[in-house]
Amino acid sequence: MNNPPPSVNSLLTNIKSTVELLVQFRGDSLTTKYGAIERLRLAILAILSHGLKQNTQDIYEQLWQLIVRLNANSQRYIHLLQDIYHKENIRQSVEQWIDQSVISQCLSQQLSCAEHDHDLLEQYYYPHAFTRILPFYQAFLICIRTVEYSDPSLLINIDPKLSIVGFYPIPSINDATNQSNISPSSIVASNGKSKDDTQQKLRSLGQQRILHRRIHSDPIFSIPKDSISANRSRVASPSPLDQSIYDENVAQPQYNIPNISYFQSDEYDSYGSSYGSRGDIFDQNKQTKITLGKATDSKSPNRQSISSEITIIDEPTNALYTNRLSTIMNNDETVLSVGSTSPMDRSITMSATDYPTRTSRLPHSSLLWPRKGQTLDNYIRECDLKTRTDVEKENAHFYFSEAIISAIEQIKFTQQCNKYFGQSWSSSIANIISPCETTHTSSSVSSSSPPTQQYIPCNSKLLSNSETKNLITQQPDEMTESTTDSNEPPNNFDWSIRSSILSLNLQESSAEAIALALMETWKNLKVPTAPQLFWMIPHDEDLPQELLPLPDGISIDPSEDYLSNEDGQRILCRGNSQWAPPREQLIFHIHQPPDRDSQLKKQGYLCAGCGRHVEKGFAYRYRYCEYTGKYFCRSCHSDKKSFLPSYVIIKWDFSSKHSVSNFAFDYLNRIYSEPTFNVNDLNPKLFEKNKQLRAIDELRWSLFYLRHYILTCRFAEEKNYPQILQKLPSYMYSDPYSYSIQDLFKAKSGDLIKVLEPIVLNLRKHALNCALCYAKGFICEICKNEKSIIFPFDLDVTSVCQVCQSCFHFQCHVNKKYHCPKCQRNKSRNNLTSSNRSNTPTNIQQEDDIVA
Amino acid sequence: MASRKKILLKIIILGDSGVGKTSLMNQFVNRKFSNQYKATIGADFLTKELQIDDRLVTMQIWDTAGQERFQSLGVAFYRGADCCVLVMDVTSPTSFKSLESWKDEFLIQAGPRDPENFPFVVLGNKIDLENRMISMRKAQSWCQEKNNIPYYETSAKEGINVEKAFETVARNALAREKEIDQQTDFPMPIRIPQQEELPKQDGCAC
Repeated sequence: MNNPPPSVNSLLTNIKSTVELLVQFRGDSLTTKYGAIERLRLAILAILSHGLKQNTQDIYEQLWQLIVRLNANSQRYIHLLQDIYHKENIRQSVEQWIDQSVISQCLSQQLSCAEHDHDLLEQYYYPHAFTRILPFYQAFLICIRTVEYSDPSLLINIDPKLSIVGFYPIPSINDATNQSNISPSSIVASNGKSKDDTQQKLRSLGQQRILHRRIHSDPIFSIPKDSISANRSRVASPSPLDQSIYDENVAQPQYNIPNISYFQSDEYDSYGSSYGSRGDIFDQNKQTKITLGKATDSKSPNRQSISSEITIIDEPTNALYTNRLSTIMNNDETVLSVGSTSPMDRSITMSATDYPTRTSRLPHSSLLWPRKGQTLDNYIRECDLKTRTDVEKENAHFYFSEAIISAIEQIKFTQQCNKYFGQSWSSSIANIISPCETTHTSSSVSSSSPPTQQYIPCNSKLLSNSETKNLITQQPDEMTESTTDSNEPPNNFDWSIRSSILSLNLQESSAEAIALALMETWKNLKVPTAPQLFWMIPHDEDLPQELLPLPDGISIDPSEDYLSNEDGQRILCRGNSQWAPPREQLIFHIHQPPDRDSQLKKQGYLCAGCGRHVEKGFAYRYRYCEYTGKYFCRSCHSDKKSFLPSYVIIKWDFSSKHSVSNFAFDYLNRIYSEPTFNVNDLNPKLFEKNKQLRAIDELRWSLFYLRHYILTCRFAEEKNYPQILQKLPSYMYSDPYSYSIQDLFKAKSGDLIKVLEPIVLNLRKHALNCALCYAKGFICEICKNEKSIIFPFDLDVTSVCQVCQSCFHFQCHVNKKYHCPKCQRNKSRNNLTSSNRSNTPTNIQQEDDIVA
Repeated sequence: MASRKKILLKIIILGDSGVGKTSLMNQFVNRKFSNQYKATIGADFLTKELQIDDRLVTMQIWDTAGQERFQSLGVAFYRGADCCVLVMDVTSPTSFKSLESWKDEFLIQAGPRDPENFPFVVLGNKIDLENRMISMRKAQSWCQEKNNIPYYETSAKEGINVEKAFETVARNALAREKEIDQQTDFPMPIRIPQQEELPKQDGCAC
């Protein structure tokens, strides 16, 4: 309690990332995922107890009162409350309420009662509390709904600004967004933006929400596919031109505004259209899959994950080709849909629906490769928009540092070149820099309009140059779409955030925030578009995503991955066929002695930690990690020594002499106290071989059985025995075979037995002397000796039926060959009820006689 | 009369979870009813003194957990029971069906003398509810089949028939107590030598 309370932002980030993690792998229910419900509960508890007014009462009592109040107006969930109410253990009740409500999908409903009930919240929370700030509370509800519906796309409704530390919304989410839209300080974006644009954008923002739901059913959605290819070729064109424009601007800053405006609008145009195109190509793929032999190929450019998205950069021919191909394939259909609605109507719908469509289509993807023509700044922000897990957040730093370094280098390079060769050179160098663009766009380059001209006419010109079929009908839409598109991206970001970011502690900011802050310094220079950058991370566009190495432990059906693409949900896989970042995995086996050459060959001479390539001649410099069984470069492997779980479990060898990579070292330290090792599964012989471990095993099984007595006895409660038990971590008595590495270390040192033994003795003494506990003993059904009451926790004399939990004298059970009379009865009872119920009594009687 | 020993009657209440065992006991002992459902964990007992005719008896009523998940606890307390109350919920056919197995299991685990004539009482609870599924006739005919077990329709919520049912429980338990007392007077092999010894000692002293 003495710790400073977490900020509301971090609370939200916490629950958001937890939720992201939970919904990431679809098909797994909350209850089956290990630790899932606990994590979520912790996050929810943290939020609910934030800023809670503390009277003399226990925090959980307060919460429980609140929970009851939440349900005061409705009887719907009263049964739930009744079910979980433990007078003695309010904490448990509160926790169960969260668990059960989440599982039965009624938490958001219960909580939403309080959303507008200011009196209630006021009564329980201080004004600074998380729940008292409406935008946060709403975001919180969205998070919960996301879990309840397992629909990750809901998360995009959360304003990303809320996650930024220190951000504190003033009136409401919408207001904040609107303010941000108007703020006029983007790097390159808003310089040339007219008032009209802003207004239009605001209007479209208003419509956005209303129209959001129409997307899936709207037949018009297939419209922009024609414009895509048009856009693609057009989008590519301006870069060389812009380059020269830019150069002029340096000399004549007064022209800056219109020029940039042109450049900018085009950029955003491409932003919007390529976004749209992505979705559409997708649709087209679905449609053309059967007829088109290249279906798989055409799919690859659409995938959002890193490795495949790069295709656009490297193999533009392929991407464009398929894109065009599918466009042509679908032209007829497009014409039809165009004809079905009046162009004006459509344009409005398009502009309004366009944005939500995109985001809802890529709920999972986070670090995408940049699209063609996308500005760096735009790209970074878009990445920030996507929800991400921790690992990806970490990766984001790498990507963005790379992007920024590359951008700086490129700017320096261009400037140098300009100095030496003049402006004419700059356009040609731009062509070299982005070869993909020039190859396909020569026609549009020539047709580019003068910089001072408005972009709309330019737009139409370009369009008529490239695609011809139904462009005449298409044009008005295209114009409107581009207009709105060019305005839309800033909806999600504003530069007032950035100023707040700059003032923040950098450590707390996201990679995106830092990247954007860094870019602030060169906002007056022409920044290369994101795909123009040279990316150093290797990529592999030919391999379908499902061939990439998948994380162990979580089973993902590759075919499902493909299917799930259809509704825009995908599973994130990092890396590519040659290299993937190391994954956190439990390795239980001891690796074969390493053979440097063959192992490195397997790794493709890439460091397993960072993917850095090593020449064969320098291969000796790489270090072997005994945990992962792979070679790492010296940056990723500082020759740290650690214990290895495999040695501990297989050989009872606790020596910390094993050389491991930094990644493995950190991971092993992190799981040190996690009870992830089921020793009975991994190496049951260990119990036989090892006396210390066997003793602990017995004590833990005793506790396992004792807990039923201790936790259900009112006399034990009076003496606080349950608390003694609950001082131990719960797995210690509820899952006796689970050990953490720490437990095993303590088992060896004898520390664990020192802790467990007195507890077991104490609790056992109570159970045997307590009238109530004693009454819950067993009478061996085999010998029927009612003088000898036996207990399951007396492991040396009692044998427990693993099916029905009945207890027998060990000897009796052995004599009966572990045959359990009660199970036999249950079995015959079930058989009888399923066949003929009228015979039940007599048959059972006979059965009992036989057993007796 | 006054010299008569105080009688302790041990009553066990059995039945599926949620049929109202705890509620019946609470209604009988404390005259209280709560709509809140809280699953009984393990087993526990309450006591109540009762005047049966001219005798004061103490009823020790054991309320049990109907749920499968508490099977990891033993039922040694069945031993020495004087009467067993089987409870079903008239709105739940399954709870009626399981009466059979509750009865069988009880007899096996309690191991009473003369199991054929061990006193059971069946209670059909929750008759205040409208969605009744088990008719009175059906329940009664089952009880008749089982050696004429007394059947009562109760509502722990409204307090209907609860008192009456438990009185019958007490009477039947008491009757059995007497029977067993009578039986044990004769066949107890251990007592006889003691009784023989005592006069001898007396004789020596004299």
